[in-house]
Amino acid sequence: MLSEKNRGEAMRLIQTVGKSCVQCHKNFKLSAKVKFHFPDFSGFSLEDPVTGLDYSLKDYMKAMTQDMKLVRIYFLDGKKEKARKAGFNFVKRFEGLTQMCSDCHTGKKSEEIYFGVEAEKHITALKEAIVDGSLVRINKHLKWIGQNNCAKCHNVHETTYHLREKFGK
Amino acid sequence: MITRLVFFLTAFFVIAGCERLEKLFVEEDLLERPPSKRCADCHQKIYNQWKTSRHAQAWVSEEFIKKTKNRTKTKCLSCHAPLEVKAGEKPQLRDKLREEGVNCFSCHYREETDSIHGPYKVFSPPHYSTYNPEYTSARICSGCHKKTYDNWIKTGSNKNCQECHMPSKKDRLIQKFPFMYFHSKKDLHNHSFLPLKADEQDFSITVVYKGKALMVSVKNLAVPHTVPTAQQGKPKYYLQIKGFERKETLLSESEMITPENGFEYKREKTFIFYVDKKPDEVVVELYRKLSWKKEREFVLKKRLSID
Ligand code: HEC
Ligand code: HEC
Ligand code: HEC
Ligand code: HEC
Ligand code: HEC
Ligand code: HEC
Ligand code: HEC
Repeated sequence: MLSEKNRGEAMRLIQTVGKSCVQCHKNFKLSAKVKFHFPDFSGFSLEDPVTGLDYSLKDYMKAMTQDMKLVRIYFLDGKKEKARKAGFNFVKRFEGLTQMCSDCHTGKKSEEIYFGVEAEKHITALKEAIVDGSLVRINKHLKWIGQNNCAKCHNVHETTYHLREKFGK
Repeated sequence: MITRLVFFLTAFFVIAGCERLEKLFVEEDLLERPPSKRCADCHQKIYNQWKTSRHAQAWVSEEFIKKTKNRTKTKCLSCHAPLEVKAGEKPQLRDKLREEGVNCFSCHYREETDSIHGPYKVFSPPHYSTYNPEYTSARICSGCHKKTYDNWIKTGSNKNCQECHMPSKKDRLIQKFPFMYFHSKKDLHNHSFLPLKADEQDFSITVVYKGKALMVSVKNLAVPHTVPTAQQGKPKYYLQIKGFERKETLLSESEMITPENGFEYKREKTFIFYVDKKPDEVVVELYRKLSWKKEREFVLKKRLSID
């Protein structure tokens, strides 16, 4: 089990990760408001790699965020089996995100920005941390992903929206 | 009957001379971007193959219509209904006959020479032809299949796209009687643009158990681009794994593989699964789903023991 000191450290990290999620959420809400203007995310569906079913983008995001939370909760509760399951499900869903880019983008560059070599490194390290059950390392890599992927993606679309609002169409 | 006709034509040839003969047989509309059905008047076999290809579905595909919001996303349209295909260039969108998708004239007619371009030096009285070596190079596919092409180039493979996706056999290029007999047999390339499917020989699979992790490594030995590969579609591969200890199931998991994280040529891709106990036997299966199909297709099944 986690020592008292480690527990404190873990909680601190969770809060940081949690924040980047909330950030995602906030940014998303803004972009959701403009989803019928630019870009258009309506009517999106993605194949969920865990269940094999087609999910709406919203349900997919929810499931992925839930996995992210569950890894940490289960590890803190000492439910290692379940924690690993949630962790691996997160990785699958995260990697499955690349399915959607080509619905709007025609270049390869956009994908490499979020799913390039750097991201791959963190995903590999995250997988190892999950197997080892190291919460500290899990949080470190989830945090990186939260900031460099989730938040960035939401930000880009939001920024585009703001620019358009400012300078007109 | 044939001999008499050949005799008649040869006589005609001698009398009329090549130049006038050529003019006499020219069918002008062939160089005015006609419907593909028109090419079938002579190139029946090729037309029948093309008709079954995905190229013929490029504009009318349901998924394409959906993803382009009823064809309103303008940057999506040109490769699905191109005017002229040129090596290494993204094509322009054409105005007429869009429903034919990637059709005969888009791949073969060039305005700059006002003729049909192709892989041979031919005598083709109905339409002027220009020999163009680009047709036997992967570059002719590269303006549209850009990502696959870029990936293929990096593998250094000496096989081009056509050798696998347009396999050839000796046959006549035209089937129109009696003219077919005036032309020698040549390599006729399959125009159904087969999507193909990898098999057991194309992958090597190894498993290792270390520190409660089962590591499954898959290597694409034979396909010189990622499997799956795509420009805009969403083809997928699936890896299913079961681990047993004395026939009792310890592990049952699956992974989805997309072109972005696909099996690179001659590179190992490793999947990590967590299992508390060491399985003595592992069964790995691969399936795939093409972008335009709903069903999964079986690729291979391998039984491996761990010691
Ligand atoms: C619903 C349409 C849509 C989807 C899906 C989408 N994007 Fe975007 N994205 C846009 C639009 C619109 C812009 C802003 C205009 C532009 O640059 O094309 C943009 C901008 C970007 C940018 C910044 C501009 C650039 O190219 O440098 C990146 C990076 C990016 N997207 C990556 C991605 C990735 C990665 C995915 C898949 C996980 C994705 N996008 C999915 C519509 C979309
Ligand atoms: C391709 C860009 C993109 C990436 C990458 C991305 N998101 Fe999203 N996210 C969206 C869009 C677009 C929506 C709005 C979905 C809708 O409602 O249609 C969304 C919605 C959400 C929501 C709200 C779901 C709800 O309950 O309505 C959450 C939470 C979320 N994302 C979290 C994440 C996390 C966590 C990550 C990284 C692991 C992530 N996102 C990565 C684009 C992205
Ligand atoms: C540079 C040329 C090019 C452009 C531009 C292009 N496509 Fe395609 N598209 C292709 C090629 C080549 C394929 C076949 C390989 C594959 O599956 O990706 C294809 C296949 C597809 C498929 C899968 C086959 C099917 O009919 O279901 C869909 C869907 C699709 N494209 C939609 C789009 C959308 C949406 C856009 C714009 C965001 C787009 N395409 C822009 C070349 C292009
Ligand atoms: C996607 C582009 C494409 C489309 C569409 C296409 N072709 Fe071709 N065609 C080729 C290429 C490439 C070759 C040369 C293959 C080689 O030599 O490796 C070829 C070769 C040929 C040849 C020479 C014989 C052979 O098979 O090599 C004929 C004749 C021909 N095509 C006619 C047609 C007709 C008729 C249609 C429409 C029914 C058509 N093509 C549609 C690309 C295309
Ligand atoms: C009236 C008959 C006829 C029609 C119709 C016809 N062709 Fe041909 N085509 C020929 C003949 C004859 C040849 C030479 C065959 C040979 O030498 O084996 C030929 C050769 C070709 C070649 C090979 C050229 C090269 O240089 O490699 C292509 C490509 C081709 N045709 C495309 C087309 C396309 C595209 C259409 C429709 C727009 C079409 N043809 C319609 C008779 C026809
Ligand atoms: C003008 C653009 C263009 C050119 C040039 C082109 N293709 Fe395509 N190709 C497409 C599009 C678009 C599709 C997808 C059509 C669909 O399914 O909607 C496609 C589909 C395919 C498919 C089927 C993929 C699948 O998922 O089943 C194969 C195989 C293929 N092309 C091979 C080739 C080869 C080989 C060449 C070169 C000889 C070539 N293509 C040249 C645009 C092009
Ligand atoms: C050595 C043979 C070989 C060569 C060369 C080759 N391919 Fe393939 N290709 C395959 C096989 C096998 C598959 C089927 C993979 C699978 O199991 O889905 C395939 C699949 C495809 C698909 C269908 C999408 C998919 O992932 O199933 C497209 C599109 C394609 N190739 C395009 C190309 C292009 C473009 C080139 C040239 C730059 C090329 N291929 C060169 C063997 C080859």
